[in-house]
Amino acid sequence: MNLQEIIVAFFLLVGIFFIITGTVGLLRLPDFYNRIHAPTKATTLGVSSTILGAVIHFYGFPPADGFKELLAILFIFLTAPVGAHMLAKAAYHSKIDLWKDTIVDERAGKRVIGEEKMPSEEKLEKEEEERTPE
Amino acid sequence: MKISRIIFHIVLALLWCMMHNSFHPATFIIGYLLAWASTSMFMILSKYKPFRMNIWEAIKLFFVFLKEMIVANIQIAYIIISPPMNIRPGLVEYPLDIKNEGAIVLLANMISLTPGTLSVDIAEDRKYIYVHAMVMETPDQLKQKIKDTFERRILKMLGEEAEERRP
Repeated sequence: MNLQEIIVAFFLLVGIFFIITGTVGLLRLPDFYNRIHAPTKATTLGVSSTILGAVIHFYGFPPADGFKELLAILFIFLTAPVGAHMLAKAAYHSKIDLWKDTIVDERAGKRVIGEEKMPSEEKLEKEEEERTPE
Repeated sequence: MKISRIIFHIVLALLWCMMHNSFHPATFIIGYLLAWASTSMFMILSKYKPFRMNIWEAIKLFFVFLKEMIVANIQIAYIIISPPMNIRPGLVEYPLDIKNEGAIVLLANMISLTPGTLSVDIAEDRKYIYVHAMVMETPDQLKQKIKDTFERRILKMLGEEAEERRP
């Protein structure tokens, strides 16, 4: 196992880790806005390190060729946030509700849950106790 | 022709070369001509005002952003995987100091790419960005963090000073 293989394995493992995290987040998080977070973010880093691993595997380290693949990373970084922004914007304008435990909503000049009602530490501890038996 | 535009054309031409997987001089010249033609056409057809930027500050901003993105990615991964999910989401109104539309797009994209925050909407008058955050202590702390890490650096890159404006 030489250095190149170690680097390739490292990038692939990091990429797979972040892609799996993104998928798990998509399944576990409570509402639409939180769910957008997981796939867009985790996937940008995950896909880009997978591509880096592929480029190093096929063209050596440092890569002598395969610049087109490196461009793919650039375009993922340019397009992913725009896509996420448009999804969130469309959701907000079609009045999809925020999650019930959302702390603040400063849009439209109103706060759904005011500062004074922010979950105190006691409440958070209580919630944790409630969740642990599961 | 300004030197900054020539640098921009060379960068675009290098992207063209990367797309063709060859750095032959002929490819570079074709790429340069295409870059010149497309940017000139864009300038004539749209009302977009280009912004000057300090290249050294831009490189620094890029590395700060990369570091911030990787750190935040690991934090979010930890929160998603840990069994009791301690998320405190919220939608905050972030006041903008940047006036230039291109720079606003840059900031909104950076907010979206940093895990844990997502730009949901931009106000009609371009004075606020609405940011959805997955984990936050208080809204003010979140705003201060975005201001310190990204907006001040973008303003520095544009060669402007950050004016103090309180929400």
